[in-house]
Amino acid sequence: MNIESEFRIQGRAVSRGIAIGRVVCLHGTKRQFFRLNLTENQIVNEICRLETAFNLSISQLIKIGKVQNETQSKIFETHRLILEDSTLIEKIIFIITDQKVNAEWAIKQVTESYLSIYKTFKDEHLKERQNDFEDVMERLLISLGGGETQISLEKNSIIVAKDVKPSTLVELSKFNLKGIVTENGGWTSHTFILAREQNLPAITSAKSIRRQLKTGDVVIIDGFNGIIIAHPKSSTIDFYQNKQNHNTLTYESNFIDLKGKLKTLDGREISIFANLENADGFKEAKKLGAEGIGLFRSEHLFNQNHSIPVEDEQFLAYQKIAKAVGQDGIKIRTFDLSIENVSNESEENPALGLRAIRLAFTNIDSFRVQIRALLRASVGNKIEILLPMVSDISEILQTREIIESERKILETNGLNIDFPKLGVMIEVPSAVLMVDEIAQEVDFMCLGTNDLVQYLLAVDRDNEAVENWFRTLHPAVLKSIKKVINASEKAGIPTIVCGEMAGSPVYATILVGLGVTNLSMNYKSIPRIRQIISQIAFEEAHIVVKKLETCKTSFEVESQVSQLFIEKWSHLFPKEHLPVAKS
Amino acid sequence: MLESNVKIVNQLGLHARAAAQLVKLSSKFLSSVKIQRADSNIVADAKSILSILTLAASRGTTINITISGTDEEQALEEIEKLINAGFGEL
Repeated sequence: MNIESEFRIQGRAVSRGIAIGRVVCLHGTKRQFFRLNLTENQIVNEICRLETAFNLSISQLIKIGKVQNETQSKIFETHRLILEDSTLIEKIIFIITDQKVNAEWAIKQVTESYLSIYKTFKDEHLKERQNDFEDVMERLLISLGGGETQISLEKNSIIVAKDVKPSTLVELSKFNLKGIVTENGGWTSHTFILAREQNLPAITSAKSIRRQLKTGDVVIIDGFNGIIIAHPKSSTIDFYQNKQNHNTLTYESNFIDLKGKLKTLDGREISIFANLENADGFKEAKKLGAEGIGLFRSEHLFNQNHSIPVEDEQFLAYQKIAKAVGQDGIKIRTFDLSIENVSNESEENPALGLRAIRLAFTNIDSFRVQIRALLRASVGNKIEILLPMVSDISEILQTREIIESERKILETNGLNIDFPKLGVMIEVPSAVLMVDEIAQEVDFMCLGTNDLVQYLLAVDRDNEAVENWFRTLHPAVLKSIKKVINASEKAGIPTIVCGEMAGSPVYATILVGLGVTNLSMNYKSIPRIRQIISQIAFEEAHIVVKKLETCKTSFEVESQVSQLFIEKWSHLFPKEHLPVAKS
Repeated sequence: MLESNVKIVNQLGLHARAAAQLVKLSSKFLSSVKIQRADSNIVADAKSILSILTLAASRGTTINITISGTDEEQALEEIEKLINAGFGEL
C-alpha cells in the first residue's frame, strides 16, 4: 500500500507506550500551528479571521507605541506599517483562497517568501529587518489564536515538531492526539511531564525528523525503545498493534551503541569504570566506554608468582597498566590477601581473620614495598591507592603516615612525587557506621558489595548451607549503600560501586536510584549496563528505590523489585533476569 | 512625471525604520512614487514598506525616484530632502 519504503529513526524515549498514526507537522515558535485544508465554504470565514487578526495586531501596536520612548515607538510604528501595507494581506488572502488552507499556513508561506529574499542581502544592517518581519508575523499568528479557531486534529494524529510547547500540548490534548515526536527537549521538559501524565507516547532527540517526515505520513512510535518507524509495512503495523493490545511488553534485545558520556534519560551522568588487571584488556574496555580502571586487584600479581613480587616487579606491573590507562586513571587496591595465601598458617575463620589491611600492618615491610612501588609508578601516571577491608579510621591515618614517609625517602633520592589520592573499600559494617567520619579522611570510597553483604548479614558467601541468607537486596544492604552515598555527597568525594551489583542490570538500576553515579565492573558487562541506564530515568529509578526503602524484609524487597520492574521496564528486562523472591 | 537620482547616505541604509519614514511621507501625496536601484531593474512602490525593504539599498546605493501625479513637485522635493538628510540619522 505504501509507495515509500519503511525506515527507522532512533531517538530517546521520554514517555512510554506505542502509537500508530499519521504525522501532523507543527510550525511556529510562540504559537504553534499546522496545515489545515479548508472546504470551499470555510474560506470566507477564514479571511474574516485573518482580517480580525490584522486589526487586532495593528491596534496592539498603536497602543504599545504610545507608551514607549521615541526609538522604541518608531520600531512599533515600523511594524504597524508592515501590517498596513496592503500587499501583505493581499498575498495571504490569495494563498488562503488559492490553496484552500488555514490563515496560519498562508502566513507561514508568505513569511518564508519574504525571508528568503532578505536572507540574500549582504548588508548586516539590512539583514536585521528579518527579525522585524518575523516579529510582526509572530504577532499576527498570536492574534489569530485569540479568535475562535476552527482547528481540530484528525483522529490518530502524531505531532512532529522541533519543540512542542506545554501550552500547545494542552491545546491539542482536547483532540484525539496519539503521540509526540520532537527534535529537542528532554525527560524533564514540561511538555514531556504532561505527556507522561496523559500516557501519551513521546520520543525526543529525533534528529532532522522534520525533514524526513511530512504531514499525513503513517508512523509508528515505539516509546519504549525510542524508535520512530516511518511508512511501516503492514507486517510491522501488525507487530506493533499486537504489542499495543498486550499491555505488557516483552523484552527485546536492541542494543544501542551509545557513544560518549553515559546519561540516564533525564540527563544524570553515570561514570563507568572497569575492574581489570591487565593492560591489554583496557583497550577493549575503553572501546566499550570504560572511563578508567575502578578496581585493580593487586593480589592478582601475587597469584601469578605464588610469592609477593619484589618492588621492581611490582613497579613495572603498575607502571605498565597505568600507562595503558593514561589520563583516565586507575585505582590500585593494595593486597587483599589472607594469612593462608602468604604462609602455611591456617585460620579457623579466614574471612574474619588476618587479611587485607590487617595483614599489611603485621607485615609492614612488604606493605612499604608495595607503597614504594605504587609511588614510583605514579610518576607521570594517574594512580590512586585503595585500601581493602578498612574497619577503623586509624588504619587510614597510619597508611597516610607510611605513604608520606616513603614519599619523603623517594624525594631525597631525587624522585618528585605528589601525595597520591587515597581511598578505602567500604565493606565491613563498622566502616558503614563510621562512613561520615571516614569520608573526611579519604579522597574517594569504593563499595565492595559482595563482601558488604557477607559481613553485614554475617553470611559466608561460599557456604551453600546458608545460601538462603545471602540476600543482596536485604533492606540493611540498601540502607548501608544509601548511607555511604549520602556521606560521600556530604563530603564531596566520589563513591564507586565495584562489586557484583554494579555489573548486574537489575542491581545497577537500583544503585542508580540510590544515587550512585560511579560503577565499576567486569568490562564485558559494560554494553548491557550502558543499554539499560541510557533507557531509564533517574527519576523513575529513584521512585522505585523509595518504594523499596519502605520494605522490611528481603522477601518484600525482592517481590517489589520484580513487580515494579515489570510495570515500568518490562521492555528492558527479560522476566527471567528479575530476582526471584526467596521465602 | 519627475525623475531624480539620490544617494542613500545614512549609515544603516534603507532599513526598516528609514523605510517606514519614506512610506509615511510618500503616502501623504496623491502622486504615485516609485523607486528603483540604479544597478537593478527591480522597481519598488514607495508607499509599500515591504516593497521598499526588498530593494536592500545599503549606504552608498544610488536610487532613482520616479513620481507622477498632481502633487509631484512637492512630493519630490520633500522625499529628496528626507533621503539627503539621511532619514534624520546623520
